[in-house]
Amino acid sequence: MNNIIELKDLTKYYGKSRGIIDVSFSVREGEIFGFIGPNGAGKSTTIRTMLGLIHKTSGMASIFGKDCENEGHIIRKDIGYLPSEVFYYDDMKVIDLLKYSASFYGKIDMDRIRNLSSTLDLDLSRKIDDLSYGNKKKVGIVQGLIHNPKLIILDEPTSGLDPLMQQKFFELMREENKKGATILFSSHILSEVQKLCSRVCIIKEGRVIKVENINDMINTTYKKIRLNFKDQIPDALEQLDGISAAKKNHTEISFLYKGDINAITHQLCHYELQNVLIEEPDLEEIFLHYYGKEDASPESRQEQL
Amino acid sequence: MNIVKRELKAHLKSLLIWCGSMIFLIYAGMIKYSAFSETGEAVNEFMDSLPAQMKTILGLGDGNDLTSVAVFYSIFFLYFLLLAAVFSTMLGVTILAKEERDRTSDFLFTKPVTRVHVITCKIIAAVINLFVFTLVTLVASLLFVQPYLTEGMSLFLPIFLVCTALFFLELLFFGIGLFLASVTKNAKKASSLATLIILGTFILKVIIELYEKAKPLGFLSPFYYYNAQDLMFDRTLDVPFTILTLLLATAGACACYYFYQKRELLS
Repeated sequence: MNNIIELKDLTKYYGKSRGIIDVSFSVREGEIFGFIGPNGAGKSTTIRTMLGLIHKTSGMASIFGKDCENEGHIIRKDIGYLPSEVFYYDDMKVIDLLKYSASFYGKIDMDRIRNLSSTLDLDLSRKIDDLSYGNKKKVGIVQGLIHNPKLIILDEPTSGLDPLMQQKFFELMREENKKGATILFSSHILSEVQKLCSRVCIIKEGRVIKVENINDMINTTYKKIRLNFKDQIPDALEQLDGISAAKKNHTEISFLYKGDINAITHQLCHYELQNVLIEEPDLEEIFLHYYGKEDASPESRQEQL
Repeated sequence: MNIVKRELKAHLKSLLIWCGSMIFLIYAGMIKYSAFSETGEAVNEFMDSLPAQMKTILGLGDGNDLTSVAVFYSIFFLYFLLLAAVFSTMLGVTILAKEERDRTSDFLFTKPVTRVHVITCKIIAAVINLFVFTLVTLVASLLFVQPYLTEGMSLFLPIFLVCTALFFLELLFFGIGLFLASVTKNAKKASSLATLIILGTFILKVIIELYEKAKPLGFLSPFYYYNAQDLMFDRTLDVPFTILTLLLATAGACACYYFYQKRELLS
């Protein structure tokens, strides 16, 4: 399989402040590749450099085997891009904007526009200015898919979409992927990346921490668990394997759990519980308790890479 | 071509407003003229009594007969020019800077087009705008001057020359606008710098008119390049200044191509 995206030591400084440092990863053809990291980690910077909106400081970025900077306009023929924040020409109607967008790629395929918009429940006759944020986002999705791109780049695509719409959106992405599109999916929400992607790249403070298979990651996935006991918190609980960052408060304990979910549920049935909450920890928490230790020193960070 | 079309559409409203203002300026001016010409000599006497500096600032040369329609029209040139300068500079600034201001650059510049192509399309659309604006000025001038012409008198050529000079200067100011948009941080900064330049060069022109010694600085003020009296009565366009005007306009556009290529489009 060919590599669709290839980044090597890509570095971007905004003046003196850090954008990204030595980012390297490659995305294979037909893959749904996750790009994950907390806000300000450099996800958008990487994507914007790939799209030629900003200029790299050093390193190499190529898509379809072509250099992102010099041959950007050729590369972009086959890219569909959905920015994290969508802004369009306010004076236009949805249909006009979509037609305008399509006109950059040659023939305007009206059937495709209609199909995509009906899938997403997007009203074509409304003015952009009058749309809610979620609806603008839908315009962005349709706009990014009109020309059947070979590579779809999504920068935090689900913000502003309600859960039902998110579901439809994921389905749409899977469909496009089945038709052969490669997808780069940037997000700060681990669970949605896990749902869709086969591999992920984790980025923090401008540096790539790890590129992992999602299956490997699921086994090392953290759950945030909060338990309310009737009486005292049993001491044995804290001795369990895979528990970290425990916080106790009278009868309540919360911690991060890493490992087989069955192991902990079996344990929990021995106790009298008042309430239990198992949720996805946000990425910051995982970084703090997992990656946080590992990149304490520059040497250990080197080992990671 | 799709970008040109889009830009023409996006700027249509503002073009109509500017054309409307120009038509109103000419119309109101000619109404004033009709009052002047009826009052007759008294106007000239009053004007003569004004200090020379005052007359210079108002764009009145020495010994001009304000009851002549040609002279009266030539005074307009300065006001046309001011209006046109603001219109063209702002057009240059906004046509480029609006993408970042409205945060639509993410849309436009992730399309399969080079920045050079985008700028070229925008320039084409803007020059069409400037051309229409000048054409409207020409037609409105001819129309509103018509009733005051004596038999056998034609002001077509002088007015045509005035409008030609106006068009060249519009291109120059447009070039300045483009340049500002490509080097400043945002549209707001570009606009305020543009205002400063228009005001500064206009004041410079007035200073030059008042102090002979400042004449060598004339090339710094586009307002100084063409003299309405030359256009109207000698019926000539100053060739060196025309070349300078077009060169500067081209330089502005070239600088814009160069700097915008390097620009970081941040959202």
